[in-house]
Amino acid sequence: MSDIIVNVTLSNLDGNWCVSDGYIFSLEDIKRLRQLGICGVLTGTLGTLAQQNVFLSVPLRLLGEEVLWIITNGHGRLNVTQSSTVPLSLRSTSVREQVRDDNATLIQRSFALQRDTKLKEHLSKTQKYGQTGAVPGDPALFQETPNDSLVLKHTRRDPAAAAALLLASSLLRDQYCHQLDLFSYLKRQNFVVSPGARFGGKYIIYPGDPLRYHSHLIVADTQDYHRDPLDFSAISAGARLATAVKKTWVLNAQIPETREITCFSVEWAGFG
Amino acid sequence: METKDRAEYIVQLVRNNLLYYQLWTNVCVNAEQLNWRGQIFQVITGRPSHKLSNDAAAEGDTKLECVLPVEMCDYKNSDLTLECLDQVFTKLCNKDCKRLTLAIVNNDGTVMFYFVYKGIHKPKRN
Repeated sequence: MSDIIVNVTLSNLDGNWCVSDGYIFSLEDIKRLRQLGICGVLTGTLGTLAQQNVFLSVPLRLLGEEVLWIITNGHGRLNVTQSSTVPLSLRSTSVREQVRDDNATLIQRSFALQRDTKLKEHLSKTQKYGQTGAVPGDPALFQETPNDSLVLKHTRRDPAAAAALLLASSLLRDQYCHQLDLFSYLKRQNFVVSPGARFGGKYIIYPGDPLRYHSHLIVADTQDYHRDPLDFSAISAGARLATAVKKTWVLNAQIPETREITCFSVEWAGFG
Repeated sequence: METKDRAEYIVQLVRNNLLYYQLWTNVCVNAEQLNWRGQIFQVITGRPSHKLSNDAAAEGDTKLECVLPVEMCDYKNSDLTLECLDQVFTKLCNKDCKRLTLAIVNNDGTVMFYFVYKGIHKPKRN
């Protein structure tokens, strides 16, 4: 089975390299990730209706630690794009013309298909009512947006791509390595982990697929096992909220000596 | 007030709250103390006046609860780290104690009670 491809973008801002979150564009990969308990968040909307944010589609956006978990456990690999790749590729006249022609063909094909379907629909409707009405004009309807970039497929694999892959993986590791231990600990217990900002935590934990189960736990930010004192007002707020929505508030830390994760679940006692 | 007196005051306040306000029985301050970075922690055990969660229904009668009184610190940081909480579980609680009840004392005398379970614990049934 082929690897799941996680797309990240590498960009250089004022001399500092940074890596974007992971995006999945293939529906097949999204299905496989869901079976692995990685659900992500659908973020794709329509270019012309960017304010519509209810029925979102591909790409699926992943947390940094999810990306790191996928690649360190060998479920997938990174596909690194540099933010300058598209403008650089488009500098070449032949690529530009090729992209333009491809695009025009695609649109024409889509229009032809729509005309055909509409005509068939209309004819079947008129036949049903026993009429032989006039053929309607062609309404401009839906335009299919391809999942793949028309430009990127023209970029050639070059040595810089290998360097970019290395750089992106090491940046991801630097940024999310300290969160990977907690994330892997939760994944080992077959929990589905999703971002927890909605409930004031770091993660929300589901005992299985979020479409089948309610979440059970809100995981608070990781704290230092030896140094960070408990903030009782934060615990009070977190645990009250968690109990009100039938969850528990989970405090956690990594024991530096053993690298073990230790957790405490807090809930309101129901009195006082 | 000195640390020792302050700790004693907090423990007595929680004990009185359990005994006279929550109407718990068999309330008893355990003699064992945990000295942690200059702070003294002590555990109170007691039997609640009614069952505290529906999960306990399967186990029958109300059980002895372990209560850890702590002070809500507004102006200075508390010293209760997760490491300290681990110590409280191992040194001050019974082996079969499945949860600790954290009694947070506010500076106006109100006490809030929170269950703390070691490890990941599912929410209680209501």
